[in-house]
Amino acid sequence: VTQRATGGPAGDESVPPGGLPGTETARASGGEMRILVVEDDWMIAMEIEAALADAGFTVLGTAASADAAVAMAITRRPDLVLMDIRLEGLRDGIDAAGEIYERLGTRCLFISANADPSTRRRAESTHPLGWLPKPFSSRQLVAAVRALASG
Amino acid sequence: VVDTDGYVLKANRAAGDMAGRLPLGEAFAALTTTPAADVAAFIRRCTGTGSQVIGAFEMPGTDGIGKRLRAYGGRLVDLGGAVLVSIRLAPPSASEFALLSRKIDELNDEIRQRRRTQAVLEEALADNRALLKELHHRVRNNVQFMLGLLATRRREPGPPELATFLDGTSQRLLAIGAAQKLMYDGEERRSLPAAEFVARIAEAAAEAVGPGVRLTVNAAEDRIPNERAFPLALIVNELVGNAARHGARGHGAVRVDFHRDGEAMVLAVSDDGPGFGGVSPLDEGLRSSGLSLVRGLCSQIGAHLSFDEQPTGLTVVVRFSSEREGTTS
Repeated sequence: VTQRATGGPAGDESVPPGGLPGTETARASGGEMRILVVEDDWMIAMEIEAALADAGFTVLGTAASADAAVAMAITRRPDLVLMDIRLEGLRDGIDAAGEIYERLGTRCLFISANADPSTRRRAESTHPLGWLPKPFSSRQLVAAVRALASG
Repeated sequence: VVDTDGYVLKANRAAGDMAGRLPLGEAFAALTTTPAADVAAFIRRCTGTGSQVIGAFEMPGTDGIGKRLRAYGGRLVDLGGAVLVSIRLAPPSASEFALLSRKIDELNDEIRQRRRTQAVLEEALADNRALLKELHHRVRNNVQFMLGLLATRRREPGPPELATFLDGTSQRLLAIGAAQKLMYDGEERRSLPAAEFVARIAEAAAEAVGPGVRLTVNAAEDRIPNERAFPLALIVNELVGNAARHGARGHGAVRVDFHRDGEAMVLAVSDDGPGFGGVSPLDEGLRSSGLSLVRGLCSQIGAHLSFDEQPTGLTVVVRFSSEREGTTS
């Protein structure tokens, strides 16, 4: 499975074909897509992790704050980050997505109940792979991630 | 009233009081301490225009202190055609200016007050918008939370009936969440975009049954009042889910039509399945497939529910008023 460089569900096309530096390296090692889940609600994070694991994806961990998300991304090098916007702490998911993209080139699929136009505009600089607005079902989540994984 | 040479022809009692005598036949200039040339010039200006001429004269006071009076001059023509000049003398209009000045001060105060009020209102509006956004966010997050709770239970061992119940409940929550999202997304906060609303919920309901269902949605661009949104979301979810599961048996065609018919809105969900097999769907005994929920929700929004069973398939029609309800409950 190769991480797609462009598109995804409602994603942008601002990343040139040829891919995502950190992501490509991680994908080249083979295996299922490795995912980091950033979500401050424990119950929701747990269900996302369970649904993805059931579908055969590898969840590297869950983070509840932007700082934890960045630290975890640096050490575990996920192929994909599922990113909520509102998180614990002073920084939000867009801040975390921006830093992860800057440092690793890894892009995020935003999962948020807060996906209004102004929020989306703010997130543009992080080159999101797409948006999955809450509430979503496990099936919709898995379908969105599979679409990204299959490119 | 003076003639063009400035001699007084007529004077009223107030003028007499001011001069200390009725100055008939006297030169008006002699009544003032203003230079005679200035008085003559004023009278000349009056004779040369049909408009009022405004000036000022210094008048000797009875107590030896002179006072300045405003003069309002105007041209008159007597019955014989002779040009005359009327001069009305009035105390300085300081009081008028004071009044005007006071009025301006009052208006400035009012403007300042209104600006303060506007600033307070704008701040309150911004606060309320932020609160509304926060509220919608919380609702959607809470729906996600409940979906998580149900899914967690679903993963645990249990009878198939429980799994079916949990799946159905999750699907209903998703329909409510979809309505909630559309309610917040648009600029218009009292109604929802009908076409997007129907399509989104129908697609989610059909997709939940399986990839084999061929869904066609034909929904008119219209608006659905907010108070109808949640019942209607559940109705669409149930009818499309039923049609996909029982009518199309997971592999057939399901068609959803939504349009306006005069004052009414009409939702029709069709499948190509066997229908109810001769049993009346309104029979209280027929409680499978969520029809009792549909019946209750139709009753809530005052909708008429009907069924058209044909050899080619079943069509369920929900017809309700497009008018917004005037009362809340």
